[in-house]
Amino acid sequence: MTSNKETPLLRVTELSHYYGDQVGCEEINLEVYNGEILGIVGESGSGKTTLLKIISGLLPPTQGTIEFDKRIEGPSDIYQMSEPERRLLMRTDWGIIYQNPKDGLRMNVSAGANVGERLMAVGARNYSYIRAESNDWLNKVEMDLGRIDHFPKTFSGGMLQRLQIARNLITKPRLVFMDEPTSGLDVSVQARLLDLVRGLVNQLGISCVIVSHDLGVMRLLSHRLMVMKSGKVVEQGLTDQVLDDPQAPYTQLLVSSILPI
Amino acid sequence: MKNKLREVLSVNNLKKSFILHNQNSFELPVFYNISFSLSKGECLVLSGSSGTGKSTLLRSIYGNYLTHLGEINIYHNQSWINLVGAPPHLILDVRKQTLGYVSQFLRVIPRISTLDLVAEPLLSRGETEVNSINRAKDILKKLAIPENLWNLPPATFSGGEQQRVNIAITFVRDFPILLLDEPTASLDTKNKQAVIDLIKNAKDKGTAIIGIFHDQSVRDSVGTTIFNIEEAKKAA
Repeated sequence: MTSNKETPLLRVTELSHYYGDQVGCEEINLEVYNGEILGIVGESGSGKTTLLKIISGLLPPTQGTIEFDKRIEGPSDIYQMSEPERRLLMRTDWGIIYQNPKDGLRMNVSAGANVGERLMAVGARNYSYIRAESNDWLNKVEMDLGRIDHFPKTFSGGMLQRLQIARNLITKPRLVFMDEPTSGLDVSVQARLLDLVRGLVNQLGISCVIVSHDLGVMRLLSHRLMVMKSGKVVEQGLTDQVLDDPQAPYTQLLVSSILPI
Repeated sequence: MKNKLREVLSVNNLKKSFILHNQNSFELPVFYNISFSLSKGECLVLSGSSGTGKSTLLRSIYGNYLTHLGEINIYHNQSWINLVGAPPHLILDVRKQTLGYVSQFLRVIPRISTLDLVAEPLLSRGETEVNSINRAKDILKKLAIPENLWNLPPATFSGGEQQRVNIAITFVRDFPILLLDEPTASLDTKNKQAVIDLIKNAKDKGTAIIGIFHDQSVRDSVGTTIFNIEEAKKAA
């Protein structure tokens, strides 16, 4: 378990990003420790996705540093390293699960190839090994193995999302970014996916940063919660504390706006 | 009577109030100047009428409610730490190893079977699957949850059954300190006795307990000390 002195896996310091005059996000500081799930909530346009893009290496920020604790070198600024170095990190130690699975999958190659691709990217060349690993992961995300040679365009939304998870986790990343992983799915599929994500994260000891506007999802998945409004962090703390005893005016409004079922 | 060496928790001058920003920043005071200590094998019963802040006090100790003033010192990993102002991952570590909490309501991920829910805390602590499942079965048996329900998610269970599953999820581990918020509220006499036995058993093994029990019989059979919040407020 994490202790106070442990080096965080990801450390973001004084991060700001502007789109011209518009604030994307401003003065963000955060840390993610090993095995920890950090949730980021906030209304549309509060800068959640901008922040996620920046810290997952997709968008260089206007200012601030993002340090990732690399296996050998230790904490390194992800935008100071060379492009190939960052790319390697993105396909080994990181996983990114997109809100729209079409952004994270290749729609014109088979499900099995989608899952096996990252293994090949890190040097696996033995076909039967790749096939066996892919099968294993399709099993873990509860996919019907009969569909391994089908194209993702024939899959449902829930299946695509599970395929995306298998594709990312096959290289056993240490940090996974998820952008609204369950928002396009109906509730029964959503529950199944949540259960799956939680189980896998527990088993593999992966750290996660999850962006969502669904507070119910956050309560079940995340350990810590960060609340954003107009590009700034208005509150952060233990998930159950932020939801049960919110301190900031905006969080109180947000929590009291949840519709009871 | 108190033996300093056996102390595991001490609360000093704790204050809690809620500030309701959307109601013109109205401040709702709950309690202040709360001080007590708790030793191994002790069961401290919080008393006071409804709305005096008993549950709030338990939740504050668990870190579910944020406190700013006072101290909550807890013996964790062979040293004393103050939970007021502690960083989130330290509180999570305390919850994983030292401090257990049984809330009034069961809140779990849908779709997961009762047996898996009860075994999960052990699994995530690194115990083997066989061992975890066996201990989960053991505690469910002790709490008289019918065996044919074990493979079902608890969402469809009766109130009393859900309450007992909730108790099982916490009691399957051996926490040094337990916070119990009306664990017997919706149970019949027979099941109440099963819970009392569990609590007594834990006490005998040295677990320190803070509990809210409205039922006089439960109070009498497990309580060792009474702490009245209203009187503590008056005295302050």
